[in-house]
Parts: sequence; structure tokens; C-alpha cells
Amino acid sequence: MDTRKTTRKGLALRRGVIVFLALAVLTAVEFVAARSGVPSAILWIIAILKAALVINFFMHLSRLFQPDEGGH
Amino acid sequence: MSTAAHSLAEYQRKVATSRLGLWLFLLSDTFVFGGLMVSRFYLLGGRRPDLNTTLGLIVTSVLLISSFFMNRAEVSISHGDRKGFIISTAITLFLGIAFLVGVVGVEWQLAPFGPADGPEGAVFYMMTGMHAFHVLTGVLFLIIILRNGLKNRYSAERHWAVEAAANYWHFVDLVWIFFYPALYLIGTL
Repeated sequence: MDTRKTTRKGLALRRGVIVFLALAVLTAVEFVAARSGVPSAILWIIAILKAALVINFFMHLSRLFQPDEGGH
Repeated sequence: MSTAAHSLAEYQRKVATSRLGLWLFLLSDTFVFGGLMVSRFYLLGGRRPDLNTTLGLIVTSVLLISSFFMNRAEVSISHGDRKGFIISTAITLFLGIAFLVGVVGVEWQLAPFGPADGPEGAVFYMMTGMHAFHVLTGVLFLIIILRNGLKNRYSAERHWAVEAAANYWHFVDLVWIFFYPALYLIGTL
């Protein structure tokens, strides 16, 4: 039981790291792209991608649709 | 069902209702920030304020890292790791204050215009000011959950306040994800 709990925690922490790295890469791409003079639509697309990651993985929007689920 | 199990089920039912309330609040707050975004493009159009883009990237990175630690804090407490929760919350708190110092203490001083110097000033100080106010509120929220965490008031099963603080903090990050390009990257000087 404890091993399973530790594994679940490890997976959740690893997911947080992956999402953070994705956000960091997208922010760097956004900064470089803006300096290169790309159309603003590209920058908005990057921002929407970043927002989707935050809403889905950090804010856990899906929990709203699982009313009796208290876990992570 | 035992009394403890019944009590936990009741708690989870209340959390589900509170969660919906929090999301409705965040949705309503989105309209405030949406209005500011519309004002920015209505007043400045294809221009952008003359700001230090490197500083913008630094404060953005600070907020992004704080979101990572906020997530770590929530994962820790939801798995009963109180020490991990306290450390991650303290780091988030520190980064939140660093963000405030970066924007209000540095960026506001370096900006080549004041709040009353035309549309650029109005847009910049209103957008960053409203956002900074939300960050400040988040910092206060973090102080509360850190204090309660130190008093051992949260467990793996019961930590709604932590989830609420985390969601609020991520929301503040979410707003900045759109404010950052709108203020620092999109448009010409």
C-alpha cells in the first residue's frame, strides 16, 4: 500500500516537472520568436498552449467533473 | 459506513461544491482581466509600451517557477508529505514576493512613463497593478496555508484550503501568460 502511494506521488511530481519544462521551453520560444518578428498570432498560439497546460495539469479542471474524487 | 468514513464522504461532498464555487469566482475574475486586455489593444493598437523585455522575461520566469513549486506543495500534502508541503509553499511564497518586487519595485521605477502619461501609462499600470494586487492576495493566502500547515492542520484527505490556494495561484500565473506577450512582446515601439 505504502509503495503504491509513493509511486503515485512520484508520478504526480514527475508530471509536474514535465509540465514545468514544457512551459519553460514555450516561454523561451515565445521570447525568441517575438524578437525575430514573427506574426503576433504565433505568440497567441503559444500563450494558449501554455494556458491549456496550466489549466489541465496544474489547476486540474477535470476534478470539477469528478465530484466525489478527492485524490490527486 | 463508519462515522469516520461518513465524515470523510461529507467533507468530499462539500469540497466538490466549494470547488465549483472557486471556479465560478475565477471565471468572473477572468472578465476583469479580459476587459483590461481589450483596453490595451483598443488604446495602443499595434504599439506596445517601451519596457525592459529582459526584466519582463525574468519576472515571468519567477512566476512560472513559483507555479511549479505550488503544484509540488499540493502534490506533497495530498500524499501526506507535510515537510515537502511546507518547504514548497515557503519557496512559492518567496517567489511570489520576488515577483512583486520585480514588477512594482523595479519595473514601475524603470518604466519611462507614469500612470498619467497617456494611454501607455494607463494601460501598463492598470494591467500590472491589478495583476500585482492579485499576486499580493495570493501571497496572503499562501501565508495562511503555510501557518496552518505548520500547525499540522492538513492531511492527505483534508486539504481543501491548499487546493484552493494552489488554484488561485495558478490562475494568477494563467493571467500573466497572456499579459506578458500583450505588454512586452506584441506590437512595435
